[in-house]
Amino acid sequence: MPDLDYLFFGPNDALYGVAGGPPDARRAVLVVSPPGVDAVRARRVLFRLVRALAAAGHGALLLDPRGSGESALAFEETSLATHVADIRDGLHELARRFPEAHQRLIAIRYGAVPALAAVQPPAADALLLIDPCLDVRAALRQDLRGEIAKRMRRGAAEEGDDRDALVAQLDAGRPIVLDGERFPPALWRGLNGSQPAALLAIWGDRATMLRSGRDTFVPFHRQLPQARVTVEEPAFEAAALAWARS
Amino acid sequence: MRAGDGTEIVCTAHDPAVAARATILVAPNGPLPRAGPFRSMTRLADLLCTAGYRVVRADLRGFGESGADVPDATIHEHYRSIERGLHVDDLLAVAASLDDDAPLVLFGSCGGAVTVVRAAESDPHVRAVVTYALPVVLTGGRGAEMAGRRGASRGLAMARLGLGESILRGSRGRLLPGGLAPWLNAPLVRALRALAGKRPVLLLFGGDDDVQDHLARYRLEKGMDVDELPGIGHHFDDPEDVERVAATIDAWIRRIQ
Repeated sequence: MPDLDYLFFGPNDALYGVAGGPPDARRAVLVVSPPGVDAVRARRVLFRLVRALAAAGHGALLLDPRGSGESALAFEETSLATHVADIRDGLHELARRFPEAHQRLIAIRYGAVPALAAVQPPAADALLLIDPCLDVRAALRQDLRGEIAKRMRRGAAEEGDDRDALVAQLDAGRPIVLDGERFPPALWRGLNGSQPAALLAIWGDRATMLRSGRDTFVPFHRQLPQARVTVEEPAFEAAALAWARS
Repeated sequence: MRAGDGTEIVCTAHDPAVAARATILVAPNGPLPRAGPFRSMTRLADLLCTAGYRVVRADLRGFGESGADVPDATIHEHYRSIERGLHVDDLLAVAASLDDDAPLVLFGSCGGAVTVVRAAESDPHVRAVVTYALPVVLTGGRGAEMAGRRGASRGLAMARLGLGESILRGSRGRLLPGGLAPWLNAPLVRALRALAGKRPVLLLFGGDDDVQDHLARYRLEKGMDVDELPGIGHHFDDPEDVERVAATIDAWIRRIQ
C-alpha cells in the first residue's frame, strides 16, 4: 500500500485532501470529490482510486471542495465560484507536491461544470468527466424524483412538493432540501448560467466522458440487498486507471 | 492513528475554542464514511463543538479512508458484519489514543450505535453512551434465516424461530435463546445489560423509524434513558433533524454531568 497524506490546505486550511504518489511523478491526477450526497456515496471508491493511482506511480490528490466531505462550509454556502476556486487551489497543491508532473483532472456529476470552468484556458493535459451533469436542470429533476419518493415513503411530503415547484423555488433563489442537504441557489444559478458545450469544445479531444450509468454510486447507497457493493472494483476504477496511463 | 493490527484509522477532530466539557467519539453509520449519511455527522460534530464539546469522527476499517479493505459483499452482509462487531476493536483503539482528560462519551447511529454500545462495555473509561436508531435485531431479521429453505427444512426453521420468539417475549427478554433466536444481536443485548444502571445510556430514536419496536417488544430498554424525536426517520433526511439530535444530546449530557 502506498503512503498517503491526509491534509488540510488552501486559504485558511479550508480544503481537505488525501494525497499519494512519488514526488517525482511525471503525471499527477486531481480527483475532485463531487458536490452533495454523491461525495458520501463515492468516498471509498474515490479513496481507493487515489490509492491505486499512487501505487501505479502517479501523483494523486483527492480534493473535497468546500461544502463537502471534510472541508469547511456547509453545502448550502457554496457557489460555482467557490467550487471553481477550490479546484484551482487543488491544482496548485498538486503542482506543489508533484512539481515535475503533467496534470490531469477527474470530476464527477455536478462537479463536471466547475471542473470545465476551473481550467479555462485548459491548464491540465486531460480531463475525465464521470457521469457529468452537463444538463444541470435535467439532472436535478432526475434527482428530485428520488427525493420526493423518499418524502412520500416517510409521510413527510407536503403539498407542492413536486419537481416543478421545487425547481421553481431554486430558480427564485430559495434553497431546497435534496438528500439531507440544502441545495444552494448560488450554485444552481452558476451551473445553469454556464455553457458546458462551449467549454467542452475548447477541451476538444483532451476531454473524455465516462458514463457508468445515471446513478453512478447509488447501487451502494440504495442498499439493494442483492447488490454487490462498489467498495471494491467499481466499474470505472479500471477505466480511470487506464485513462491516467494513456 | 493505528488499530491494534496496524490498520490505519483516519479521524477528524473538532476542537472547541474553550476547554472541552466532554469528548464525544463518533462511530460511523455502518458502511459510510465519517461524514455520515448526507454529511450529517459533520454537521452534528460542528453543532456539538459549538456547544463546547470536542468531537472526534473516525473512519473504521473497510470504509471511508481507513487503511484496511473488507471482502466484497452485499450491502446486507456488510451491515451484519458491522452489527456483529467488525468495528469494535478499531473504535476502542481510537478511544485509547485520545490525548485529553475530558470525560469520554461515545455516539453512534444505526450500525455505529451497535459499535459504541459494545465498545463501551469493554472500556471502563467511557463515561456515557448515546445511540441513535440502535437495532437490536440483525439486518434481515428472521427472513435471513429462512432464505433458501424449502419444504420440511423451512417448516422446522419456522418452528425453531417461533419457539425462540416465544421464549424471548415470555421471559420479557431475560432469556436469550441463542440458536433459537439467531436474528437477535445477543452480544449487543448483553452489552446493553452490562451498562444498564451502571453508566448513563441514552437511546435516541426517530419517531418515523421502526427499529425501536424490537427494543420495546423484548423489554430491553430497562435502566436506560429512551427518547423519541417525532418526525425524524432512520437517517437525517432534513438538516433540521441533525440540529434537534444535537440539542437533545447536549441537554442530556448537561443533565448527567
